[in-house]
Amino acid sequence: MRVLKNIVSQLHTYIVWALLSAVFWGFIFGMITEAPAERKIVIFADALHCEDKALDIALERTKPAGIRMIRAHTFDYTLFDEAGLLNADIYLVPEEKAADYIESYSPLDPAALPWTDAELWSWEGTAYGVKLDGARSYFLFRPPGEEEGDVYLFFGVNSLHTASLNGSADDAALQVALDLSCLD
Amino acid sequence: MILAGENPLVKKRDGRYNEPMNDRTELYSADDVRRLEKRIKTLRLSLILSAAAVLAVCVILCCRTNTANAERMEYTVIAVTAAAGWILLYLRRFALLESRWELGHAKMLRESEIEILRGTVTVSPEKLRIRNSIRFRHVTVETEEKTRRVNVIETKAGPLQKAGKELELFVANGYVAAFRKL
Repeated sequence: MRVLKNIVSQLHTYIVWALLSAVFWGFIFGMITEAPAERKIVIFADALHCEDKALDIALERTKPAGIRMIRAHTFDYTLFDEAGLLNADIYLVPEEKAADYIESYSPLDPAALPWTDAELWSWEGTAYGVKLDGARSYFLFRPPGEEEGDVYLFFGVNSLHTASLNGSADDAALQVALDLSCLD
Repeated sequence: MILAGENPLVKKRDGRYNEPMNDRTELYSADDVRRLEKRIKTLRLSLILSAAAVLAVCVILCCRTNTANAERMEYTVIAVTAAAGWILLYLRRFALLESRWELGHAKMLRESEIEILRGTVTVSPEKLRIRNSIRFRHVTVETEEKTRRVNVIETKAGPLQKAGKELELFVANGYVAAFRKL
């Protein structure tokens, strides 16, 4: 009884402490679960739904050296962060919408790609995208009931991880794209 | 103030006394003061070590965070910090601080000038608290001339009540420091 009375008399202290704990560790975990662009691969999908956490875990099992984390999001994620969308490393876009984001893609050099006999998506004679055969189970690109058409993978023109395409630091995005195409 | 004609107490000129008073009950002996000091030291060390241990656990959990468990780890760390904090805050407030206040009171009683009151003693059941200090109860002393009100620290009110009604009280700064049955 006395303990209860003591607790009630100091309840405000305990509430403040709980709030401070949540704010402090939320800040710390925000830092822990983030990485600079040089250590991260970002995948944006123009999809209705994405099993982002499951996909992140699957891709991080074989992540390239020097990459700390891989993050997949749908385009909705960038509602207040357009810069994040423009600086993505990999885009996954259904065929019928591919041309909408042409300015974000890096032109492809088919010889530099790790795939052989990949089906390419081209615009005005230049190859930009590769057909995505793997990882389709992680995404919902079209409403249920509609036929699942083709989806293409594009590399971001501002990516820091497509050395073979734009002379950036490394080819980690190409490796991740290959891993993505190998997933079920 | 020593009342005129009274048998002098074992009390020094500067108002301090520290020889044991054999025929009366001191509320706080020298041993009690030492015991309180030791308790405070132990409590402080325990709280610091416990806080450090909880922090170490949280740091370890942070280091073991990965994409798969990040959300779960965050909630775990928040829960551990909140719960441990509540326990440590409670112990700090109701164990450590209470002991510190009690020690301050005990030292005051032992180092202050004594006033003697004799009469019928009644301890009030009402518990009061001085902000950021001890809890106490009022004590009414009906002497031959008048009725006086003094205080007694709440933790020692029980022994005072059990001592009976007709008592000689040794009062320091308005607080009972010792008593003797008449």
